[in-house]
Amino acid sequence: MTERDPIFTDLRAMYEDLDPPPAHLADAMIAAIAAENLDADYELLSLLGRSTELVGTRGSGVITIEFSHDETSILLRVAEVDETTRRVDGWVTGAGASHARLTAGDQTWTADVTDGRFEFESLPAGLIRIYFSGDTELATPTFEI
Amino acid sequence: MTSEKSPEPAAPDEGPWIRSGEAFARWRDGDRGAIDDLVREMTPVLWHVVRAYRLDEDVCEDVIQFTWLTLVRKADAVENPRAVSSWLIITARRQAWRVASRNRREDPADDELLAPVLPSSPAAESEAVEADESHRLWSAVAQLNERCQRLLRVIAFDDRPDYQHISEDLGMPVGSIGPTRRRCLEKLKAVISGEGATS
Repeated sequence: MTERDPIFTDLRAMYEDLDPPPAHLADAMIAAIAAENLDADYELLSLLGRSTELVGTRGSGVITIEFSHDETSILLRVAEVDETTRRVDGWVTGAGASHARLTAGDQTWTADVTDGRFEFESLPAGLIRIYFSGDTELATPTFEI
Repeated sequence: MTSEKSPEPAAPDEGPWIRSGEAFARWRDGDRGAIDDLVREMTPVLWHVVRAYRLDEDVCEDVIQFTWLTLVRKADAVENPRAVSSWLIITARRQAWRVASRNRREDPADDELLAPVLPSSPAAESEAVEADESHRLWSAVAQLNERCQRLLRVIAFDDRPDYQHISEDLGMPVGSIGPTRRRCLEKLKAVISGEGATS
């Protein structure tokens, strides 16, 4: 066992004090696990990056989110239509995806994937998840738009 | 629930690791609710490990969610339940590293310029800092380079750090982690005692 400098205890206390996890975090993780369909046979896409186009004023921001799994990569653009409505369009490469299905709570939307492109015109702001069907079944984790 | 206060143990304690392993074993044996105990035990630890990579809060949340979903989908990947904490930390760190290195490529701003932002206190340079132990330590840590900051934060929350994987993530030979850790600690102590202060 390595010796442990007591200062690590101070460091730990300091980070817990000044940069604590958000209060909702554990509950959100429990909810995400509870919502996960463990029987479904799909691969989980992992977040690769998220960026906000800083140009423009508040309300016209476009967020770019990238996910990947093995050879598959997915690029999403989330645009704010108004306070409560979002538009999502994107590209998927490497999965041979033909359909995209988007869920938000109990609601579901579907879209065809044409030449890797897909689009969801009008979605409520909030937590969503997107599933892709094709050569491989893929799903994003839940994320907020 | 009792209102009795239990003092925080000063030394690293195996308790959380043992509790995590037990909760995970119960969950794998069919106790669906046991995962909640594991999540409550380990999510704060994962937060600090992922934040060490200087990711935004919402990105940290995504990384941690990915870690949990990967665990429940690939539960068999953890051979020994007692290793679940280490498995979670390594998976979260890997994913944080991927996202952080990806974002770095797009972001020309140098890490050294991105001084850590005090999330809860704008009064970083005020006299209040002097009075507050946490803020003083934070200011001291902020004077270290990014690699030191990350290494110290990861180790602070990982009682059983896995040097093999840390070395890969930090892009340094495994044999140099120990010396680097020692150097970072020496620098930190020098800053705290005033010797390393730049002003």
